[in-house]
Amino acid sequence: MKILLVDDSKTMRNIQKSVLGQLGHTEIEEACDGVDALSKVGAFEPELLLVDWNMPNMDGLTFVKKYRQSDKTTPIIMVTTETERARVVEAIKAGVNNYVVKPFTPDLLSQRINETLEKVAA
Amino acid sequence: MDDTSTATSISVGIRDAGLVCEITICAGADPETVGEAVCVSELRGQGVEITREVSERLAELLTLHGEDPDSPHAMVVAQGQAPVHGQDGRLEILPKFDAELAEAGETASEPGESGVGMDHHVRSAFALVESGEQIGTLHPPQPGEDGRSVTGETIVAKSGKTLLLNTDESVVVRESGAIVAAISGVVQIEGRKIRVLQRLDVHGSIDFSTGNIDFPGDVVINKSVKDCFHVQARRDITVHGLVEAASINAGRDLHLLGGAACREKGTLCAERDIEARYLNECDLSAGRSLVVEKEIINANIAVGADLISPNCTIIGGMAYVTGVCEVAEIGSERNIPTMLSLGKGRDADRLSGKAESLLQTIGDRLVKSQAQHDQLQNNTAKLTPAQAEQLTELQFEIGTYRRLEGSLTGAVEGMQRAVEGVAAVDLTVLKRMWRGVTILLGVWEAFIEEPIKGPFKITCNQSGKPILTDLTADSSVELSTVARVRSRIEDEGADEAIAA
Repeated sequence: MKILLVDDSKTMRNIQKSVLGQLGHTEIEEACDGVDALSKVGAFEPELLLVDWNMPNMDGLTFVKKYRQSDKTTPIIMVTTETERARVVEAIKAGVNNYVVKPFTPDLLSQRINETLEKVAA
Repeated sequence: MDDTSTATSISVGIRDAGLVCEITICAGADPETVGEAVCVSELRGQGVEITREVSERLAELLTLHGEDPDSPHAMVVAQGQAPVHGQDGRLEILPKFDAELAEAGETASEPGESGVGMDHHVRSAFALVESGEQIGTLHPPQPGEDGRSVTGETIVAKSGKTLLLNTDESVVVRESGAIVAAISGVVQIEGRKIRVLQRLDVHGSIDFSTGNIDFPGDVVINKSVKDCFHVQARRDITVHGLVEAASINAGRDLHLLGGAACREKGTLCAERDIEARYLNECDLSAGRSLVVEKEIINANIAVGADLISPNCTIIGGMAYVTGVCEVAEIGSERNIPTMLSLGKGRDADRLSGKAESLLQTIGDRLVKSQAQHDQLQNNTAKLTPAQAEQLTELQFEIGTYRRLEGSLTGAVEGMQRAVEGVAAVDLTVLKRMWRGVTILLGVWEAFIEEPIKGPFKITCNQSGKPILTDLTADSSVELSTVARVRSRIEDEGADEAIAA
């Protein structure tokens, strides 16, 4: 499965990559912000996206809104420190399928990824 | 034989195997009588071809005679073409392998080096060749070109002869004439005989005159190996003289017939067996057995199999012997600390030490990460985004360290169990073991505090405890009755450790 990681922190991307590796996913592309991610989705055609909210140039929410204009089905998991209910609802409305709040454990991230993929498959 | 025609006043001579024709006009011959027609007729009579060149020469001669008829005149009027004989086949050896050039100092073992600032240890005096490398070229014979006599006859040129090389299966001569080594080794060229030998004989010592040796076959050194030089061979190495602080590495067996005194700097290594007259202050590793004729002094040795040297004394240093060990004496009257590890490989010990050190490092990092994590989680009411990210990183680090610690601990324990499991102890001392000797036997450590007279044997009984058997009386006692013996596993009973 092709997975795109969108986060401005390389450490975070490495952690996510490691968790995905343990789940058997190795076809992974990385983007450091929303602009970078938009430039990569066309060629990479991801089947799952893990997106941070707070990023320079283009934040995660703006990216999700723009991405959803052309792709309405590919699952997106928001990985963020935003916990306010209104913010979560805003993200869900923009087209996010699942939510992981930082700090998270590798087990929690792995659980959310599995949940999301199962829902999409169903 | 020259063929001369005699007329009254002129003579024609053909010589040099038909390549030269000379006419002589006698003194006093009448120029009116001796004209061109007479001369041409005489030449034709001898079979000489009359070319324009011949006519011109003849005219020149007649003019000379007309000017001075009282003197004799001679001139070469015709010349043939000598044959060019073919060249014999020849052998061209590349400069690197040409002994004459090497002796004249025209070859360099490291092309392009001027000698300034280079390490002279790495220069080699031997014409070493790798399999597939060209040694030289065998040039074929050349056919030659026929000549022509003054009478128009062909003078046949001699053809060149093929050079027959004397080679064996170590050398291949390709269709192109390239002489190529079929195996790696040292090139031997004697006249037409070319061989690649898998044995390198060094008549003197390994020093600046030879440089380091890295040879694909056997190496025999008739004298010594000097300080700081390296000798490496894929097969056996034999040194008849002394090995100084040098490094020697044999792919098979190592024979140190003159002994080794390495001053704690030299290393001696063989994949299979090592035999030595004596070993002094060296680091030695034998893949299989070691046999020492006299003594091992202050050496660090590791023997993969047996050390059977009934006349040898081990004094000082550390010896690891995986298999059977039989020596005359261990230690000395002056109680020099001497360590002997039986039934356990040095490499396994080192590996185990490294793994334990790595485990310690991981443990330390784990404690540090956990402390940071706890501090952040417990002392912060609401996490900032940066703190939330830091906490995620710490959680990930802690998980990773725990996984590493778990798998490494399992691996180390498994390795230790495996090593202890194969630790068969069999030590025979024929004369005496002195105070100051420490013997490591699996999980046990024995300190010899009073000399023990030989011949005796130390083994482990069925419960794993070391026992000493007096070979004269054929009676056995626990080693702990004659030496201080303690378990090497701290905080655990040795019995439990063995049971585990």
